[in-house]
Amino acid sequence: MTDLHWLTVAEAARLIRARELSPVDYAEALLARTERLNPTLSAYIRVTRERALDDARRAADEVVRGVDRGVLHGIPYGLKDIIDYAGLPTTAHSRILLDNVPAEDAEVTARLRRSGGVLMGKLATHEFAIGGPAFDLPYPPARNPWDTTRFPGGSSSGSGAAVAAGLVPAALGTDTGGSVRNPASMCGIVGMKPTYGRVSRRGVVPLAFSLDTVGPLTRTVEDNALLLNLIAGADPRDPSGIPGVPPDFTADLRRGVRGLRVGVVRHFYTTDMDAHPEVTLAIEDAAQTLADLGAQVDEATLRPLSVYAAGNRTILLSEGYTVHERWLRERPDDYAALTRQRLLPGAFIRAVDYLQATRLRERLVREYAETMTRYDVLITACSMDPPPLIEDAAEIERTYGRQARTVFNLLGCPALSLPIGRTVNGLPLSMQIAGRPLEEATVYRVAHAYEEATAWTSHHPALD
Amino acid sequence: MNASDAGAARAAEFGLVHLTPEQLAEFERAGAYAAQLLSRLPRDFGLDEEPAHRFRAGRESSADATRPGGAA
Repeated sequence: MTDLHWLTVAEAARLIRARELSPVDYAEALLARTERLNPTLSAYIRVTRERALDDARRAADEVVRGVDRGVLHGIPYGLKDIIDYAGLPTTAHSRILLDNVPAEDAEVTARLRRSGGVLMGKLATHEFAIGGPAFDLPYPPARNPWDTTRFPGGSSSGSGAAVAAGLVPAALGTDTGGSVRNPASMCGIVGMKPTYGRVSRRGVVPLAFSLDTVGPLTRTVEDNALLLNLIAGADPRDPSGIPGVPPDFTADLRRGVRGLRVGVVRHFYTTDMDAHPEVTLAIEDAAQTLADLGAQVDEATLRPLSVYAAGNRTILLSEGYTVHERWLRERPDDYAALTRQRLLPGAFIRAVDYLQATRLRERLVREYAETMTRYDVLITACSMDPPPLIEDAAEIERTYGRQARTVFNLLGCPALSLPIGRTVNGLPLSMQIAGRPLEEATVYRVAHAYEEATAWTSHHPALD
Repeated sequence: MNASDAGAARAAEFGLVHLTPEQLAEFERAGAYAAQLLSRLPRDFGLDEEPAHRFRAGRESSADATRPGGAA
Protein backbone atom coordinates (compact mmCIF):
# COMPACT_ATOMS: atom_id res chain seq x y z
CA MET A 1 0.00 0.00 0.00
CA THR A 2 1.12 3.59 -0.68
CA ASP A 3 2.30 5.45 2.42
CA LEU A 4 -0.87 6.65 4.14
CA HIS A 5 0.21 10.28 3.84
CA TRP A 6 0.46 10.05 0.03
CA LEU A 7 -2.91 8.36 -0.49
CA THR A 8 -5.22 10.32 -2.74
CA VAL A 9 -8.80 10.97 -1.68
CA ALA A 10 -10.00 8.46 -4.28
CA GLU A 11 -7.56 5.76 -3.10
CA ALA A 12 -8.32 6.30 0.57
CA ALA A 13 -12.08 6.25 -0.07
CA ARG A 14 -11.74 2.92 -1.85
CA LEU A 15 -9.73 1.43 1.02
CA ILE A 16 -12.12 2.74 3.67
CA ARG A 17 -15.17 1.36 1.87
CA ALA A 18 -13.42 -2.00 1.50
CA ARG A 19 -12.62 -1.84 5.24
CA GLU A 20 -8.93 -2.14 4.45
CA LEU A 21 -8.19 1.22 6.04
CA SER A 22 -9.61 2.51 9.31
CA PRO A 23 -10.41 6.24 9.32
CA VAL A 24 -8.93 6.33 12.83
CA ASP A 25 -5.59 4.84 11.74
CA TYR A 26 -5.55 7.21 8.77
CA ALA A 27 -6.24 10.29 10.90
CA GLU A 28 -3.66 9.22 13.51
CA ALA A 29 -1.00 8.74 10.83
CA LEU A 30 -1.60 12.22 9.40
CA LEU A 31 -1.73 13.78 12.88
CA ALA A 32 1.62 12.19 13.72
CA ARG A 33 3.10 13.52 10.46
CA THR A 34 1.63 16.94 11.19
CA GLU A 35 3.13 16.94 14.69
CA ARG A 36 6.53 16.20 13.17
CA LEU A 37 6.47 18.55 10.18
CA ASN A 38 4.18 21.46 11.06
CA PRO A 39 6.72 23.18 13.36
CA THR A 40 8.88 23.64 10.24
CA LEU A 41 6.14 24.20 7.66
CA SER A 42 3.68 26.29 9.74
CA ALA A 43 0.93 25.09 7.41
CA TYR A 44 -1.62 24.83 10.22
CA ILE A 45 -2.30 27.62 12.65
CA ARG A 46 -4.59 25.31 14.63
CA VAL A 47 -4.57 21.50 14.61
CA THR A 48 -7.90 20.11 15.83
CA ARG A 49 -6.57 16.77 17.04
CA GLU A 50 -9.41 15.70 19.34
CA ARG A 51 -12.10 16.82 16.91
CA ALA A 52 -10.33 14.93 14.11
CA LEU A 53 -10.19 11.74 16.15
CA ASP A 54 -13.87 12.12 17.15
CA ASP A 55 -14.83 12.57 13.47
CA ALA A 56 -12.68 9.61 12.47
CA ARG A 57 -14.15 7.35 15.17
CA ARG A 58 -17.68 8.34 14.09
CA ALA A 59 -16.84 7.60 10.46
CA ALA A 60 -15.27 4.26 11.39
CA ASP A 61 -18.37 3.30 13.33
CA GLU A 62 -20.65 4.31 10.46
CA VAL A 63 -18.62 2.33 7.93
CA VAL A 64 -18.92 -0.77 10.10
CA ARG A 65 -22.69 -0.19 10.30
CA GLY A 66 -22.89 0.09 6.51
CA VAL A 67 -23.54 3.84 6.40
CA ASP A 68 -21.93 5.35 3.26
CA ARG A 69 -21.66 9.14 3.20
CA GLY A 70 -19.72 9.17 -0.06
CA VAL A 71 -16.19 9.74 -1.18
CA LEU A 72 -15.09 11.94 1.74
CA HIS A 73 -16.37 9.60 4.44
CA GLY A 74 -13.53 9.24 6.94
CA ILE A 75 -11.11 11.32 4.86
CA PRO A 76 -9.07 14.13 6.49
CA TYR A 77 -9.26 17.66 5.14
CA GLY A 78 -8.16 21.16 6.16
CA LEU A 79 -9.78 24.58 5.95
CA LYS A 80 -8.12 27.90 5.20
CA ASP A 81 -8.66 29.97 8.30
CA ILE A 82 -11.06 32.38 6.67
CA ILE A 83 -13.70 29.65 6.37
CA ASP A 84 -16.04 29.20 9.34
CA TYR A 85 -16.30 25.99 11.31
CA ALA A 86 -18.81 26.39 14.15
CA GLY A 87 -17.13 26.63 17.55
CA LEU A 88 -13.59 27.13 16.23
CA PRO A 89 -12.02 30.56 15.81
CA THR A 90 -11.88 31.98 12.28
CA THR A 91 -8.97 34.38 12.65
CA ALA A 92 -8.11 35.15 9.03
CA HIS A 93 -4.53 34.93 10.40
CA SER A 94 -5.13 38.34 11.99
CA ARG A 95 -5.05 39.95 15.42
CA ILE A 96 -8.31 41.64 14.50
CA LEU A 97 -10.29 38.40 14.49
CA LEU A 98 -8.43 36.46 17.19
CA ASP A 99 -11.63 36.15 19.23
CA ASN A 100 -13.98 35.54 16.31
CA VAL A 101 -15.76 32.25 16.97
CA PRO A 102 -18.62 31.60 14.54
CA ALA A 103 -21.76 29.88 15.77
CA GLU A 104 -22.50 28.39 12.38
CA ASP A 105 -20.55 26.52 9.72
CA ALA A 106 -19.80 28.07 6.37
CA GLU A 107 -21.91 26.39 3.70
CA VAL A 108 -18.84 24.60 2.31
CA THR A 109 -17.92 23.37 5.79
CA ALA A 110 -21.43 22.09 6.36
CA ARG A 111 -21.25 20.17 3.10
CA LEU A 112 -17.92 18.57 3.97
CA ARG A 113 -19.17 17.65 7.45
CA ARG A 114 -22.33 16.08 6.03
CA SER A 115 -20.06 14.08 3.70
CA GLY A 116 -18.29 12.55 6.69
CA GLY A 117 -15.00 14.45 6.25
CA VAL A 118 -12.52 14.59 9.14
CA LEU A 119 -11.41 18.15 9.93
CA MET A 120 -7.69 18.18 10.79
CA GLY A 121 -7.40 21.90 11.47
CA LYS A 122 -7.41 25.49 10.28
CA LEU A 123 -4.72 26.45 7.80
CA ALA A 124 -2.47 29.49 7.51
CA THR A 125 -3.38 32.27 5.09
CA HIS A 126 -2.03 35.65 4.21
CA GLU A 127 -3.81 38.01 6.57
CA PHE A 128 -7.39 38.47 5.36
CA ALA A 129 -6.34 36.67 2.15
CA ILE A 130 -4.51 39.75 0.91
CA GLY A 131 -1.38 40.42 2.95
CA GLY A 132 1.65 38.36 2.11
CA PRO A 133 4.15 36.25 4.00
CA ALA A 134 4.25 38.52 7.06
CA PHE A 135 6.35 38.04 10.18
CA ASP A 136 4.50 40.57 12.39
CA LEU A 137 1.33 38.54 12.94
CA PRO A 138 0.18 36.17 15.73
CA TYR A 139 1.10 33.15 13.56
CA PRO A 140 4.12 32.56 11.33
CA PRO A 141 3.70 32.28 7.56
CA ALA A 142 3.53 28.83 5.96
CA ARG A 143 6.61 27.57 4.12
CA ASN A 144 7.08 25.64 0.91
CA PRO A 145 7.51 21.86 1.45
CA TRP A 146 9.79 21.61 -1.60
CA ASP A 147 12.26 23.99 0.06
CA THR A 148 11.32 25.46 3.40
CA THR A 149 13.33 28.62 2.75
CA ARG A 150 10.90 29.36 -0.09
CA PHE A 151 7.49 31.03 -0.41
CA PRO A 152 4.60 28.56 -0.76
CA GLY A 153 2.41 31.07 -2.61
CA GLY A 154 -0.74 32.56 -1.21
CA SER A 155 -3.00 33.59 0.06
CA SER A 156 -4.13 29.98 0.68
CA SER A 157 -0.55 29.27 1.71
CA GLY A 158 -1.25 26.74 4.47
CA SER A 159 -3.67 24.84 2.22
CA GLY A 160 -1.00 24.50 -0.47
CA ALA A 161 1.77 23.56 1.96
CA ALA A 162 -0.32 21.02 3.90
CA VAL A 163 -1.53 19.18 0.81
CA ALA A 164 1.89 19.14 -0.87
CA ALA A 165 3.56 17.92 2.33
CA GLY A 166 1.16 15.02 2.80
CA LEU A 167 -0.35 16.44 6.00
CA VAL A 168 -3.78 16.14 4.43
CA PRO A 169 -5.01 14.93 1.01
CA ALA A 170 -7.34 17.87 0.38
CA ALA A 171 -7.94 21.39 1.59
CA LEU A 172 -10.16 24.32 0.76
CA GLY A 173 -8.80 27.73 -0.12
CA THR A 174 -10.21 30.92 -1.57
CA ASP A 175 -9.32 32.73 -4.76
CA THR A 176 -10.04 36.42 -5.41
CA GLY A 177 -6.96 37.32 -7.44
CA GLY A 178 -5.30 33.89 -7.68
CA SER A 179 -5.11 32.71 -4.06
CA VAL A 180 -5.90 29.04 -4.73
CA ARG A 181 -3.86 28.79 -7.91
CA ASN A 182 -0.78 30.57 -6.59
CA PRO A 183 -0.07 28.11 -3.74
CA ALA A 184 -1.03 25.23 -6.02
CA SER A 185 1.51 26.53 -8.51
CA MET A 186 4.29 27.12 -5.97
CA CYS A 187 3.72 23.83 -4.10
CA GLY A 188 3.31 21.58 -7.14
CA ILE A 189 -0.31 20.52 -6.59
CA VAL A 190 -3.70 21.02 -8.27
CA GLY A 191 -5.83 24.06 -7.43
CA MET A 192 -9.17 25.03 -8.96
CA LYS A 193 -10.84 28.42 -9.00
CA PRO A 194 -14.38 27.51 -10.04
CA THR A 195 -16.85 29.69 -11.90
CA TYR A 196 -17.88 32.66 -9.73
CA GLY A 197 -21.04 31.63 -7.88
CA ARG A 198 -20.45 27.90 -8.38
CA VAL A 199 -19.53 27.45 -4.70
CA SER A 200 -21.20 29.27 -1.81
CA ARG A 201 -19.20 32.06 -0.13
CA ARG A 202 -21.46 32.19 2.91
CA GLY A 203 -19.43 31.91 6.11
CA VAL A 204 -16.19 32.88 4.39
CA VAL A 205 -14.49 36.15 5.43
CA PRO A 206 -14.90 38.35 2.33
CA LEU A 207 -12.11 40.07 0.48
CA ALA A 208 -13.92 41.31 -2.62
CA PHE A 209 -17.58 40.39 -2.92
CA SER A 210 -17.77 40.21 -6.70
CA LEU A 211 -14.51 38.26 -7.15
CA ASP A 212 -14.30 35.85 -4.21
CA THR A 213 -14.48 32.12 -4.91
CA VAL A 214 -13.87 29.00 -2.80
CA GLY A 215 -11.92 26.17 -4.40
CA PRO A 216 -10.20 22.86 -3.63
CA LEU A 217 -6.47 22.11 -3.46
CA THR A 218 -5.49 18.48 -3.92
CA ARG A 219 -2.59 16.39 -5.20
CA THR A 220 -4.47 14.96 -8.20
CA VAL A 221 -6.99 16.20 -10.75
CA GLU A 222 -9.50 13.48 -9.91
CA ASP A 223 -9.43 14.41 -6.22
CA ASN A 224 -9.99 18.02 -7.13
CA ALA A 225 -13.06 17.18 -9.19
CA LEU A 226 -14.34 14.96 -6.36
CA LEU A 227 -14.00 17.83 -3.86
CA LEU A 228 -15.73 20.27 -6.20
CA ASN A 229 -18.60 17.79 -6.53
CA LEU A 230 -19.06 18.05 -2.76
CA ILE A 231 -18.90 21.82 -2.35
CA ALA A 232 -20.58 23.06 -5.55
CA GLY A 233 -24.25 23.93 -5.66
CA ALA A 234 -26.74 26.65 -5.07
CA ASP A 235 -27.02 28.19 -1.61
CA PRO A 236 -30.12 30.36 -1.18
CA ARG A 237 -28.22 32.41 1.41
CA ASP A 238 -25.44 33.38 -1.02
CA PRO A 239 -26.76 36.02 -3.43
CA SER A 240 -24.08 35.14 -6.03
CA GLY A 241 -25.10 31.48 -6.18
CA ILE A 242 -25.81 29.85 -9.53
CA PRO A 243 -29.25 28.25 -9.49
CA GLY A 244 -29.71 24.63 -10.50
CA VAL A 245 -27.91 21.37 -9.88
CA PRO A 246 -24.23 21.28 -10.88
CA PRO A 247 -22.95 18.47 -13.09
CA ASP A 248 -20.71 15.59 -12.00
CA PHE A 249 -17.25 17.11 -12.46
CA THR A 250 -15.64 13.67 -12.73
CA ALA A 251 -17.88 12.54 -15.59
CA ASP A 252 -15.53 13.55 -18.44
CA LEU A 253 -12.21 12.87 -16.73
CA ARG A 254 -11.27 9.87 -18.84
CA ARG A 255 -12.54 11.04 -22.21
CA GLY A 256 -9.12 12.27 -23.36
CA VAL A 257 -8.46 15.40 -25.39
CA ARG A 258 -8.66 14.10 -28.94
CA GLY A 259 -10.41 16.74 -31.01
CA LEU A 260 -10.60 19.33 -28.23
CA ARG A 261 -9.51 22.84 -29.24
CA VAL A 262 -6.79 24.20 -26.98
CA GLY A 263 -5.73 27.85 -27.27
CA VAL A 264 -2.29 28.77 -25.96
CA VAL A 265 -2.31 32.36 -24.67
CA ARG A 266 1.38 32.78 -25.31
CA HIS A 267 1.50 36.58 -25.26
CA PHE A 268 0.70 36.59 -21.53
CA TYR A 269 4.08 35.04 -20.67
CA THR A 270 6.27 36.07 -23.61
CA THR A 271 5.20 39.60 -24.55
CA ASP A 272 2.99 41.08 -21.82
CA MET A 273 5.37 39.63 -19.24
CA ASP A 274 8.64 37.82 -19.74
CA ALA A 275 8.33 34.63 -17.73
CA HIS A 276 11.31 32.77 -16.29
CA PRO A 277 12.74 30.65 -19.15
CA GLU A 278 12.03 27.38 -17.34
CA VAL A 279 8.35 28.38 -16.98
CA THR A 280 8.07 29.19 -20.69
CA LEU A 281 9.78 26.00 -21.74
CA ALA A 282 7.57 23.84 -19.51
CA ILE A 283 4.38 25.39 -20.91
CA GLU A 284 5.56 24.86 -24.47
CA ASP A 285 6.30 21.21 -23.60
CA ALA A 286 2.84 20.86 -22.06
CA ALA A 287 1.19 22.30 -25.18
CA GLN A 288 3.12 19.78 -27.27
CA THR A 289 2.03 16.95 -24.97
CA LEU A 290 -1.62 17.93 -25.44
CA ALA A 291 -1.08 18.07 -29.21
CA ASP A 292 0.52 14.61 -29.09
CA LEU A 293 -2.57 13.38 -27.24
CA GLY A 294 -4.76 14.54 -30.12
CA ALA A 295 -5.85 18.04 -29.12
CA GLN A 296 -5.96 20.78 -31.75
CA VAL A 297 -3.49 23.24 -30.28
CA ASP A 298 -3.49 26.76 -31.63
CA GLU A 299 -2.37 30.19 -30.47
CA ALA A 300 -5.06 32.34 -28.83
CA THR A 301 -5.06 36.08 -28.21
CA LEU A 302 -6.76 38.01 -25.45
CA ARG A 303 -6.26 41.61 -24.32
CA PRO A 304 -2.88 42.37 -22.69
CA LEU A 305 -2.47 41.24 -19.10
CA SER A 306 -2.18 44.84 -17.93
CA VAL A 307 -5.79 45.53 -18.94
CA TYR A 308 -7.12 42.62 -16.89
CA ALA A 309 -4.83 43.52 -13.99
CA ALA A 310 -6.08 47.12 -13.92
CA GLY A 311 -9.71 45.96 -13.87
CA ASN A 312 -9.16 43.28 -11.25
CA ARG A 313 -7.05 45.44 -8.91
CA THR A 314 -9.46 48.38 -9.09
CA ILE A 315 -12.44 46.21 -8.18
CA LEU A 316 -10.56 44.13 -5.61
CA LEU A 317 -9.04 47.10 -3.81
CA SER A 318 -12.27 49.05 -3.78
CA GLU A 319 -14.35 46.17 -2.45
CA GLY A 320 -11.56 45.16 -0.05
CA TYR A 321 -11.39 48.65 1.40
CA THR A 322 -15.16 48.54 1.84
CA VAL A 323 -14.74 45.44 4.02
CA HIS A 324 -11.84 46.86 6.03
CA GLU A 325 -12.68 50.57 6.27
CA ARG A 326 -13.89 50.43 9.87
CA TRP A 327 -10.93 48.42 11.16
CA LEU A 328 -8.42 50.55 9.26
CA ARG A 329 -9.92 53.60 10.95
CA GLU A 330 -10.14 52.10 14.44
CA ARG A 331 -7.35 49.50 14.65
CA PRO A 332 -4.67 50.21 12.05
CA ASP A 333 -1.93 48.90 14.36
CA ASP A 334 -3.53 45.46 14.49
CA TYR A 335 -2.80 44.73 10.82
CA ALA A 336 0.54 43.46 9.53
CA ALA A 337 2.31 46.32 7.77
CA LEU A 338 2.13 44.41 4.49
CA THR A 339 -1.64 43.94 4.74
CA ARG A 340 -2.20 47.61 5.53
CA GLN A 341 -0.03 48.55 2.55
CA ARG A 342 -2.08 46.25 0.29
CA LEU A 343 -5.44 47.59 1.52
CA LEU A 344 -4.85 51.34 1.78
CA PRO A 345 -4.83 52.09 -1.99
CA GLY A 346 -8.52 51.18 -1.95
CA ALA A 347 -9.25 54.43 -0.13
CA PHE A 348 -8.28 56.42 -3.21
CA ILE A 349 -10.55 54.65 -5.68
CA ARG A 350 -13.58 56.78 -6.45
CA ALA A 351 -17.03 55.45 -7.33
CA VAL A 352 -16.48 56.46 -10.95
CA ASP A 353 -13.23 54.47 -11.11
CA TYR A 354 -14.93 51.39 -9.68
CA LEU A 355 -17.78 51.66 -12.14
CA GLN A 356 -15.44 52.11 -15.09
CA ALA A 357 -13.68 48.94 -13.97
CA THR A 358 -16.97 47.04 -13.90
CA ARG A 359 -17.79 48.36 -17.39
CA LEU A 360 -14.39 47.05 -18.46
CA ARG A 361 -15.23 43.75 -16.87
CA GLU A 362 -18.47 43.47 -18.84
CA ARG A 363 -16.61 44.23 -22.06
CA LEU A 364 -13.90 41.65 -21.32
CA VAL A 365 -16.47 38.99 -20.42
CA ARG A 366 -18.21 39.58 -23.76
CA GLU A 367 -14.91 39.36 -25.65
CA TYR A 368 -13.94 36.18 -23.81
CA ALA A 369 -17.26 34.54 -24.74
CA GLU A 370 -16.54 35.35 -28.37
CA THR A 371 -12.98 33.99 -28.15
CA MET A 372 -14.23 30.81 -26.51
CA THR A 373 -16.43 29.99 -29.50
CA ARG A 374 -13.10 28.95 -31.09
CA TYR A 375 -11.57 27.08 -28.13
CA ASP A 376 -12.70 24.56 -25.55
CA VAL A 377 -9.98 25.59 -23.12
CA LEU A 378 -7.07 28.01 -22.92
CA ILE A 379 -3.67 27.25 -21.45
CA THR A 380 -1.22 29.85 -20.22
CA ALA A 381 1.20 30.61 -17.41
CA CYS A 382 0.07 30.64 -13.80
CA SER A 383 3.12 32.07 -11.98
CA MET A 384 5.80 33.75 -14.11
CA ASP A 385 8.55 32.73 -11.69
CA PRO A 386 9.50 29.76 -9.50
CA PRO A 387 8.97 30.24 -5.74
CA PRO A 388 11.14 33.06 -4.32
CA LEU A 389 12.86 32.98 -0.93
CA ILE A 390 10.25 33.67 1.75
CA GLU A 391 12.40 36.14 3.67
CA ASP A 392 13.38 38.11 0.56
CA ALA A 393 10.71 40.80 0.83
CA ALA A 394 11.94 42.63 -2.27
CA GLU A 395 11.75 39.50 -4.43
CA ILE A 396 8.31 38.62 -3.04
CA GLU A 397 7.16 42.12 -3.94
CA ARG A 398 8.76 41.96 -7.41
CA THR A 399 7.05 38.68 -8.27
CA TYR A 400 3.70 39.52 -6.57
CA GLY A 401 2.13 40.88 -9.76
CA ARG A 402 4.02 38.61 -12.17
CA GLN A 403 1.21 36.16 -12.85
CA ALA A 404 -1.70 35.56 -15.20
CA ARG A 405 -4.31 34.56 -12.65
CA THR A 406 -6.37 37.71 -12.08
CA VAL A 407 -7.59 37.51 -15.68
CA PHE A 408 -9.87 34.63 -14.80
CA ASN A 409 -11.16 36.18 -11.57
CA LEU A 410 -12.26 39.22 -13.54
CA LEU A 411 -13.89 37.00 -16.17
CA GLY A 412 -15.55 34.79 -13.54
CA CYS A 413 -14.66 31.63 -15.44
CA PRO A 414 -13.00 28.43 -14.13
CA ALA A 415 -9.20 28.20 -14.08
CA LEU A 416 -6.98 25.48 -12.69
CA SER A 417 -3.29 25.37 -11.80
CA LEU A 418 -1.56 22.12 -12.72
CA PRO A 419 2.02 20.92 -12.07
CA ILE A 420 3.98 20.54 -15.32
CA GLY A 421 7.56 19.96 -14.20
CA ARG A 422 10.41 21.02 -11.93
CA THR A 423 13.12 23.62 -12.28
CA VAL A 424 16.76 22.54 -12.35
CA ASN A 425 16.70 23.27 -8.61
CA GLY A 426 13.76 20.92 -8.11
CA LEU A 427 11.08 23.58 -7.57
CA PRO A 428 7.57 23.16 -9.00
CA LEU A 429 6.53 24.58 -12.38
CA SER A 430 2.90 25.01 -13.40
CA MET A 431 0.43 26.12 -16.03
CA GLN A 432 -3.16 27.27 -15.98
CA ILE A 433 -6.04 25.71 -17.85
CA ALA A 434 -9.07 27.97 -18.18
CA GLY A 435 -12.50 27.20 -19.57
CA ARG A 436 -15.85 28.72 -20.36
CA PRO A 437 -18.05 29.71 -17.41
CA LEU A 438 -19.68 26.62 -15.85
CA GLU A 439 -17.42 24.26 -17.82
CA GLU A 440 -15.13 23.06 -15.04
CA ALA A 441 -15.64 19.50 -16.30
CA THR A 442 -13.83 20.31 -19.56
CA VAL A 443 -10.96 21.93 -17.65
CA TYR A 444 -10.63 18.80 -15.49
CA ARG A 445 -10.80 16.61 -18.61
CA VAL A 446 -7.81 18.35 -20.20
CA ALA A 447 -5.89 18.45 -16.90
CA HIS A 448 -6.48 14.74 -16.30
CA ALA A 449 -5.31 13.77 -19.79
CA TYR A 450 -2.10 15.74 -19.26
CA GLU A 451 -1.65 14.31 -15.77
CA GLU A 452 -2.02 10.73 -17.03
CA ALA A 453 0.52 11.37 -19.76
CA THR A 454 3.17 12.92 -17.51
CA ALA A 455 2.56 11.91 -13.89
CA TRP A 456 3.96 15.16 -12.45
CA THR A 457 1.24 15.08 -9.79
CA SER A 458 2.68 11.87 -8.36
CA HIS A 459 5.97 13.60 -7.46
CA HIS A 460 6.29 14.61 -3.82
CA PRO A 461 8.76 16.69 -1.82
CA ALA A 462 11.37 14.76 0.16
CA LEU A 463 10.45 15.55 3.75
CA ASP A 464 11.04 12.20 5.43
CA MET B 1 1.17 73.36 7.34
CA ASN B 2 4.16 71.03 6.86
CA ALA B 3 4.14 67.86 4.72
CA SER B 4 3.34 65.48 7.57
CA ASP B 5 0.48 67.70 8.79
CA ALA B 6 -0.87 67.80 5.24
CA GLY B 7 -0.65 63.99 5.05
CA ALA B 8 -2.46 63.65 8.37
CA ALA B 9 -5.15 66.07 7.22
CA ARG B 10 -5.62 64.12 4.01
CA ALA B 11 -5.85 60.81 5.92
CA ALA B 12 -8.38 62.38 8.29
CA GLU B 13 -10.62 63.08 5.30
CA PHE B 14 -10.88 59.29 5.03
CA GLY B 15 -11.51 58.89 8.76
CA LEU B 16 -7.97 57.56 9.26
CA VAL B 17 -7.16 59.55 12.39
CA HIS B 18 -5.13 56.93 14.28
CA LEU B 19 -2.25 56.44 11.85
CA THR B 20 1.32 56.64 13.15
CA PRO B 21 3.88 58.65 11.15
CA GLU B 22 5.05 55.39 9.56
CA GLN B 23 1.49 54.49 8.62
CA LEU B 24 0.92 57.98 7.21
CA ALA B 25 3.88 57.34 4.93
CA GLU B 26 2.22 54.06 3.86
CA PHE B 27 -0.96 56.05 3.17
CA GLU B 28 0.93 58.49 0.94
CA ARG B 29 2.53 55.63 -0.99
CA ALA B 30 -0.89 54.01 -1.31
CA GLY B 31 -2.19 57.17 -2.97
CA ALA B 32 0.64 57.12 -5.46
CA TYR B 33 0.07 53.43 -6.20
CA ALA B 34 -3.66 54.00 -6.73
CA ALA B 35 -3.01 56.90 -9.09
CA GLN B 36 -0.68 54.73 -11.14
CA LEU B 37 -3.19 51.87 -11.19
CA LEU B 38 -6.08 54.09 -12.22
CA SER B 39 -4.04 55.70 -15.00
CA ARG B 40 -4.00 52.27 -16.68
CA LEU B 41 -7.76 51.76 -16.42
CA PRO B 42 -9.48 52.10 -19.82
CA ARG B 43 -12.25 54.72 -19.88
CA ASP B 44 -13.24 54.64 -23.56
CA PHE B 45 -16.70 53.18 -23.09
CA GLY B 46 -19.72 53.67 -25.29
CA LEU B 47 -23.04 54.87 -23.91
CA ASP B 48 -24.44 51.36 -24.14
CA GLU B 49 -21.64 49.76 -22.13
CA GLU B 50 -23.11 49.21 -18.69
CA PRO B 51 -21.31 48.01 -15.57
CA ALA B 52 -21.17 44.33 -14.64
CA HIS B 53 -23.15 43.15 -11.61
CA ARG B 54 -26.24 45.18 -12.17
CA PHE B 55 -29.54 44.03 -10.69
CA ARG B 56 -31.34 41.27 -12.54
CA ALA B 57 -34.90 40.43 -11.61
CA GLY B 58 -35.58 36.84 -10.71
CA ARG B 59 -39.01 35.96 -12.07
CA GLU B 60 -41.97 37.93 -13.30
CA SER B 61 -44.42 35.93 -11.21
CA SER B 62 -43.20 37.17 -7.81
CA ALA B 63 -43.70 40.79 -8.87
CA ASP B 64 -47.15 39.97 -10.24
CA ALA B 65 -48.19 38.50 -6.92
CA THR B 66 -47.73 41.79 -5.10
CA ARG B 67 -49.00 44.14 -7.80
CA PRO B 68 -52.54 45.48 -7.35
CA GLY B 69 -54.72 43.48 -9.68
CA GLY B 70 -51.88 41.00 -10.23
CA ALA B 71 -51.92 37.27 -9.77
CA ALA B 72 -53.83 36.14 -6.74
